Amino acid sequence: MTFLRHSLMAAQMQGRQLGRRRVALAIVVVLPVALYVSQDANSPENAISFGALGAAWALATTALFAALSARESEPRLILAGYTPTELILGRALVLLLGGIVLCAGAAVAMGLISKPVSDGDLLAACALVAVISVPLGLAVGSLVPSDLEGTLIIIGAVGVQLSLPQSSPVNVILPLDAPIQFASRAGGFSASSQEAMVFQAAIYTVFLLLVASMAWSRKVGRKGRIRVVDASPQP
Amino acid sequence: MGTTIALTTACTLRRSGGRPMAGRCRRPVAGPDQKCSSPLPRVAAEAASRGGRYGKIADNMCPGLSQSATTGHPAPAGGVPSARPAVLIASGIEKRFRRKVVLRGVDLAVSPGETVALVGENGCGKTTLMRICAGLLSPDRGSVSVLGRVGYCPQEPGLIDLLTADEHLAYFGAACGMSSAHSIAKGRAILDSFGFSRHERGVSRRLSGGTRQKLNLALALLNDPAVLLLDEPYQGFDRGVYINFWDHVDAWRAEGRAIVIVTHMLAELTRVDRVVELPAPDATQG
Repeated sequence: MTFLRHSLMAAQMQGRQLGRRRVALAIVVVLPVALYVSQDANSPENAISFGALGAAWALATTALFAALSARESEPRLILAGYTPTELILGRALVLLLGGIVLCAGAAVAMGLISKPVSDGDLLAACALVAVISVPLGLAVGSLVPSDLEGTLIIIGAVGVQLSLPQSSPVNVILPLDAPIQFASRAGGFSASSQEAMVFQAAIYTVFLLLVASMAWSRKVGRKGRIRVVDASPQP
Repeated sequence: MGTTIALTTACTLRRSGGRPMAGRCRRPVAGPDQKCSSPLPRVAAEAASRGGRYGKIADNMCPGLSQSATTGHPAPAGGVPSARPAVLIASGIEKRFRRKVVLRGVDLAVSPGETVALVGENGCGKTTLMRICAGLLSPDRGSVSVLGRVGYCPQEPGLIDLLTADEHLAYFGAACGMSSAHSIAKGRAILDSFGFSRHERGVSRRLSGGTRQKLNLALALLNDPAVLLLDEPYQGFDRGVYINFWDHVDAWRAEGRAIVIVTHMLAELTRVDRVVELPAPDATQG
């Protein structure tokens, strides 16, 4: 119960912080739209993939900066009584919720404009973008020393994914391969099995969440051989 | 030369006081016959001439002036000066950052209702020791035991830029099971006592440095800590608030809290029970 209460409080406070970054939120919305529109005129068959990658880029970067901006304050919160897992779970919850809202909007817009072969594949692509990008940003934010390195890694991951041809075997090891394959299916190109892609996405999501949680605990958690005997009465 | 004389004075004070030292270095780096560059002995002598607010002059006035080095008597286990059991015991703390030894064999024990000032040159490991005592940094060797809750006020306010003061209070209060309304009410009472304006409703990044520091201090006090670790907590305070701050320290001490405060304000050392000076960084090398 305490775990849930603490996680929800962390999610609430993360939500308030994000809600106050109005310019950043506007860019998060504009980025996938810009990538989608830029391709829709030249190669409409790739437009959905570009839109999905734009959303992934925006969400991963948001998660990265949410994690990085918490580095100073969270050791104190942990000292006050939170656990690193509660804090990262709260952050992931609110980012996932925001990501799903963003991706749902993007899916509706792309569905109306691009008229995909399969609406289900388009929805799956957008849902998987949210589910993978947020843990990706959190994991990178937990591992890198500062914002520059994290931003470069995310730009690199999305850039490589954008430039690789669909048939490249390297795609399989990239975190955003599954949503891009679904986006291609929505455009009528990919023949990959849906089950395999969902499985790949699930593996990536769990792996990235585990990395994020472990690295975050190591970075901001209580350290050392301190032995605390709580003799104070609970309020 | 004058410093050497003052050092002798400090040692004499300590002998006549008869209080054993709680914070000490296991490896003496300066014996009683050695010169000490620290300005603290002079402050102690001045404080003694003034009578001192509590009549408790700093015990450990110079790096390495351990109990055995000055009086020949062994220090008690954990270095606890009071009959009351210590609520914070740090023993044998060692910490190095790469090749630089920051802390070597440091012991510190603080009892309830005791205020200890932690002093020393820049880079001597005061903040490192505080972070180790708070459990935010791992020592290479040694252990820390704390009885009760710890309130830690870092030198740099670890505030969340985009949250208001009330949101900070609710967030930190929830950590120890308080409702948002209770946390905010309690936190506002603490903030009011520091002169925090009720008009400061904006997010913390828009607050002035001193106002941020008041919030920083209030967060450390919110969960009724048994041990208060204050790392230069008055930065940015105006003169009036600074003077009030030391009155608050007296009040927390009277409430039975154990207080460790990092300070460079030598004029205020007469207001603490003990002064623990960490040796200069170069003195711990080798």
